Amino acid sequence: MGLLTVLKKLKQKEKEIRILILGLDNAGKTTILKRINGEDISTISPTLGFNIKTLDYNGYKLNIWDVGGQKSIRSYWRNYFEQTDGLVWVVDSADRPDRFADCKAELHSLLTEERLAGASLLIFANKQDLPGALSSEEIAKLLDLKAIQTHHWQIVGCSAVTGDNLLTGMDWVVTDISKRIYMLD
Amino acid sequence: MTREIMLAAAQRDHEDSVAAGSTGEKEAAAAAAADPNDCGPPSFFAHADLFATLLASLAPDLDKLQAQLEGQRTIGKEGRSEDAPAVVDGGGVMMDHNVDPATADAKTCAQDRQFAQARELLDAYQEQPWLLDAHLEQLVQPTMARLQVLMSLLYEVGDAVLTARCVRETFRPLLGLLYHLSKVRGHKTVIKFFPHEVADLEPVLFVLESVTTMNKAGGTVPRASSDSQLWEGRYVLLLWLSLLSMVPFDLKTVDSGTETGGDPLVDRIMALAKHYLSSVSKEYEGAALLLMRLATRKDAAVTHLPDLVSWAAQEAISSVANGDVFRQRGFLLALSTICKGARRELLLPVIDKVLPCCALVDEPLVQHNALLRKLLVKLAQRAGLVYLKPRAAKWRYDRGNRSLERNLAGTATVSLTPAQGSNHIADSCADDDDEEDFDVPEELDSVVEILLNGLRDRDTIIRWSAAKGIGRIVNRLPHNLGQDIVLSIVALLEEDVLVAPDGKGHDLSQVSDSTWHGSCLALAELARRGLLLPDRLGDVVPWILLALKFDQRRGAHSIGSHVRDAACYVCWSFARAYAPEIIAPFVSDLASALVVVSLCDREVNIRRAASAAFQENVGRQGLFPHGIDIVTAADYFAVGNRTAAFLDIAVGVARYPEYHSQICQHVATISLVHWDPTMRVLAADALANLTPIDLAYMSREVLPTLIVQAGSEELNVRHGAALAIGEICLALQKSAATAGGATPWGEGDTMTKVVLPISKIIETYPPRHLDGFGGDQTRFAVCRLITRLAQAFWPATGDFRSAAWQLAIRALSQRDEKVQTAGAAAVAALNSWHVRETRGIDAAMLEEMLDGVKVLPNADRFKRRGCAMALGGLTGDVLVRSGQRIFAALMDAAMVQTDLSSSLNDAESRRNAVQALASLATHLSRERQSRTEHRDLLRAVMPRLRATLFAGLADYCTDSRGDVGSWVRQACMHAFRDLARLENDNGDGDCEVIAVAMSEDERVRLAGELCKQAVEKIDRMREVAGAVLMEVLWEVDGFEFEGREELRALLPRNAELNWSSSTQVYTFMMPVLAMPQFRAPLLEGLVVSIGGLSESLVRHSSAAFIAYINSLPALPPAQPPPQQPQPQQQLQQSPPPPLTIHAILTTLCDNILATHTRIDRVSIPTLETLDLMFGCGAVRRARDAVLWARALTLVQAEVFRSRDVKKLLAGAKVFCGFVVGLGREGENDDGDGGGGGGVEQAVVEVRRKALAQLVGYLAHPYPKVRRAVAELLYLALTSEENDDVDDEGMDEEESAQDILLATDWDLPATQLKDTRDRLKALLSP
Repeated sequence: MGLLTVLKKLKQKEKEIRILILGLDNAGKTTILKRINGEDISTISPTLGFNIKTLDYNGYKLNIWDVGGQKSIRSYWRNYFEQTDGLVWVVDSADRPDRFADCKAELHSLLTEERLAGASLLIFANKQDLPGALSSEEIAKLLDLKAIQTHHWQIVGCSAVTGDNLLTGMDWVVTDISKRIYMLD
Repeated sequence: MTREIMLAAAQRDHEDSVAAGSTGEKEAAAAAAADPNDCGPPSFFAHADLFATLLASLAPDLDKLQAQLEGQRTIGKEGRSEDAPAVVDGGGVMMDHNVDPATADAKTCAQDRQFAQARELLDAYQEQPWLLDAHLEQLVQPTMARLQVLMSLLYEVGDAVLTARCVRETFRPLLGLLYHLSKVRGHKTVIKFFPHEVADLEPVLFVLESVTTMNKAGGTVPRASSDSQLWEGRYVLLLWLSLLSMVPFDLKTVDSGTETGGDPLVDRIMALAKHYLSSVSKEYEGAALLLMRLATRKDAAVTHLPDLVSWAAQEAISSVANGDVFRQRGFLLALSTICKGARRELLLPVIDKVLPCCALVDEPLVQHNALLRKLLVKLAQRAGLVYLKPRAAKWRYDRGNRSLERNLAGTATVSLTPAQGSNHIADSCADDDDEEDFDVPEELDSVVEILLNGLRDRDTIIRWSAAKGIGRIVNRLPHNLGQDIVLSIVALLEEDVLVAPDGKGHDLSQVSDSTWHGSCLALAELARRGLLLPDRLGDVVPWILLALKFDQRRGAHSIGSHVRDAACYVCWSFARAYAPEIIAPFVSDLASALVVVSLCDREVNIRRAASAAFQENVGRQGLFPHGIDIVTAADYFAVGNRTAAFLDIAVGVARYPEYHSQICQHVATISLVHWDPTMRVLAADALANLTPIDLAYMSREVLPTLIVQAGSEELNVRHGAALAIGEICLALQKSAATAGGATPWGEGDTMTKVVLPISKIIETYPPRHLDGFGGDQTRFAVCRLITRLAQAFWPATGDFRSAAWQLAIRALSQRDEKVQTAGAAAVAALNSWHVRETRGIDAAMLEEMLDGVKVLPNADRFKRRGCAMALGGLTGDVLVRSGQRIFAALMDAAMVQTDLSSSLNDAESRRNAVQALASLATHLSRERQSRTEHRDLLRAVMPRLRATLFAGLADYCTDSRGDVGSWVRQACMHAFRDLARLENDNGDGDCEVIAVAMSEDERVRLAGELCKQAVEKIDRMREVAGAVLMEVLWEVDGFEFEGREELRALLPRNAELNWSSSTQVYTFMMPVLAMPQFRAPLLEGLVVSIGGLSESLVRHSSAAFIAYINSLPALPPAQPPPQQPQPQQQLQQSPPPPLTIHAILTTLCDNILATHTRIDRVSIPTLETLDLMFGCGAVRRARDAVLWARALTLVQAEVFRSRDVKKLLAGAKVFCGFVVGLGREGENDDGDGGGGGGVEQAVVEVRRKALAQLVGYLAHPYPKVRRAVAELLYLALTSEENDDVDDEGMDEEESAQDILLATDWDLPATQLKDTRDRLKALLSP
């Protein structure tokens, strides 16, 4: 009964769900995390490593991992894929047009990762409060989400600053995961 | 009206809709859901049909049964009478009455196999059973539905005997499978798929009662005999019944028995459960669950629960007195299950009766039984929880608001500061009056005592159980009491801790590892629940840091990995429990300790646990220095490999100054003195890699301690220190060289601080360390040290030089081969070191080694081995000066000594000599200086060297260890490969070196030898020979000989062949027999395999051989043969005559049997091969009476006066072959005529001689030979008789056979002489 066994059991017993927040830099990943963790969001600087937060939702314990989005860090993303149940992909809806191509490429290459197979995918079209933000439908088209056959996915327009729709999105991803993993309870 | 009820416990929602999903996305979701990979790695869908098949395979039986029962039910309905069951039974309704029991058994067996397969499949899911969840419904429900119908039919029929038999015979596989599912996935999960209709209650109860051997006063007669295989079924039925007992109706309303005056349902179930509670097999667990479910029913709780609890408690106490473990186990489990499942209000009145049970923990019966102790600890915990109101301790530390909803509901302006956690505590302490309001019953003291004692139990499972219990209890305690418990746990850690001898730190050598493990588990549980308050961290962390490195020596090993693992759990819990600013004061200690453990622990699971804890801390605390980089470098997979973790990752992490000294200190003080020698070697290598990071640190902080330790009385310490000093010095020198300096030894005070003390170690090494206990390890380390120092251009001061030489030379004569190797390496290094200093090896040293390899009477064989090894490592001038003598000495040593006592025939010495010769030759050809002298030397020794190696290829010496010559042969093959490579290296354009090349004859000979070795019986030898053969054939350009292309065609370069596999190699090599130049050696190797010992080898080699010779023509055709299809042969001017059986037989006789007379290794297998060739008709088809006669003579010569039973029997079989296997006169099966009458005469002569030989054996002194020969003769005569029934000698032979059969051949040989003579007369023509 070593630590690793204990951890595996705890994850089962305490109905833990592991969610990874990824996306290009400046998409608002840490802001979303801090917002849903009820923290101050006025001072946020680029994430250089990762943050883990634990939250309770509907009887589930969410372990949310926020990993930095800068290009130099993206190669490290692979380290965090282990046992990931859900993926939250954050998009800056008011981003420069050329970045959407980058965003699409990163997302689609991410989904080919073997260790993410089966993870539920939530796309947050963030910064809906900004003028000139694209709607979630437009972003779905730009990112070619229809082509995704390997994962359950859902796109939700939201704003981390106002908190709009964050709950809707998180609710979808938790429900989807719990149906898959904890269907019996 | 429908009575179907969905139970609250089994509510499931299987709707597949996706919340807020668009249609396109629904499709995507459906596609993903259908994807079997959706649920994780091993897919179950591939096997789902297996289970369907299993159920289908039982369907005929079940259908038949169902039909019969339905029929029976109608009868029963028409006139149900008291004796109906008996009639039914007597009427033979049961399905298998007309089936032969044997067939039925066979069928059951086949079924069992299928089901066993399914069980194995399920076992694969034991580690990650939740992967089954998605498929459980599919697995369980069809089966249960089937059982449900059948059981209610059985119930209606009401025949208990029939029912019991159905369960035993028809249901058993299904119930077994259900049990296995519950074993893999857990009964709580599986049970949710069981049917739970009220209507099922009575049928299931009836079925279970029927299979029960219970002898109730109520008149139920003992029925089905206690069936040992049926426990799985009974367990499943009990589980089912426990589920059904939860139906939310008053059981009186569903009880059909009350009208007829039977026992109430509750009582019947209760009696059944109580009966099974003392079962020896798993039923007791089901029974405990059933009791709990029943007693916590609304309609039974008040009436039954108190009685049940008192009864179980009383029985538990009284069964201790009886010493009945099984009964006690059941009662304790029932009590703790009830305490867990029943509501607190119900339990409170009776809980005082339970507590006395906990006192049983001191009974000897319990003390000696881990399971009972565990149950008691569980019971104590649950009883304790009953005393305390369920509540979360208000005083516990809470890191903040963690509800996602609440966080998001609180609008944009809300922002919680991280400091909220500490405020929270202040708040809770503020309403103290509420906190301390309730009083804690005194009984809790004993509960807590049991739990705290459980933490120190010798069994892990009990410590773990106690730790969880403490976590739960403290959660309900008031602040001060909770903190008392935390303090008690810390006190447990302090128990037996001594002050370290140096006055600083702690000495943990006397503490109990169990206590530490349990305490760490408890602390982790408390921290995880927020019950370890931040202000206690200062008390706890220092102990955890010690626990992270906990390691207690126990003789030759140590224990404590479980403590380190638990300490990692504590660290992991800290990461989750506390806000960063609370951990901050401890970060640097925790971080470095965790990093060190994750990289430098011996055990992989501890490295991984520490790595997991570190990652958790990095992610949640964010304070750990360089956390991200370290997590990236030292992840779960990376730390899995110990060597990589020590040599690469630890070194990489040590580049961060925060971790440098911690890692260096851990490696130098803990890993380097580890009980495991491989750890010490690894630690020394790691120190070498760590050196360049901070040269000054190594030479100032680490080396001085090591220098002191090198002379330690403790083996581990001096071994590790000597290894490490050498590695560090070499690393220091290399760093200096990289920096541009020559050597670092003259700089600053290095000479006095480093060089002189280290030289002193070598100069004054205490001999007792080298010769006493562990001397081999010490010597090894010292030789390594000398090697490294020599490689590091050590300044030769004082007596260092001669002392080092002496130590190295002495090591050569040790018995341990590892030590000898290290000594040889030291000699080689010292020799090159002298070269640098332009001083050759001492003449005296060289003479000592040359003397050492000499073959003299009374020579020390270990010394010979070591000296031979060392001579091979010499380079430079000494080869010019004394090369001839060295070669000569080694070549002498490589020869098998035939004329001396066996003690000089040392296979290892010869092997080492051969290896040394090969490496010297390689040195000579590679050495760039003084090329001419070296080439001259090489040219001069080469012919004899090759002769030596060829002789070595024929080294088949054996001793008590078996074929020790194989080492020499292997070394020779490798040596030839090296020589061939030399030619390859220098061959082009350098005509002088061509002189060393082999002659073509030698190449053919070598290829033949390699072919031979490639088909011999030792797998390893075939592998070596095959590899060398392929290399010289394809990779060495100069290795040309006639027929090379032909051989290359037979052995293509890209042949994917596993030479060690006897299944492949023989078939592959067989066609090479067609090449006359390789036929004899190849056949010799083959014969040895055919006559080998291991069954698979003999089978594969003989099968390949027979198949091949059967495909050959018997005799060479008179005319030139037709064109062969092979293109290679077409290319040649005159194709060689095709291979015939005749040629094989000739080779076998003339080249193998004739040349190995009385060499049993080859001659006995040859006889066996001849027998094989008789058996498949090959000898007969060769049709050459002269050859036959020659063969017979050779065989006769071989067995003449032999006393080897194996050889005699093999010979007898061959003689028998000569008698019956040559074909009859005039017989002409090949259509090419049998030759003239003279030939026939010769054949008759051969047969006569062979028969005479056989008959002679009938009076052989060995009874075994007589018996076997009599049998052979009888068989031979019988087969002759079958061949031609109307032979005129039939009567005589008839009587000869009678005599052979009738005689007792075990009688003394003297009494059998007459019989033999009578047979001789009868059989001679």
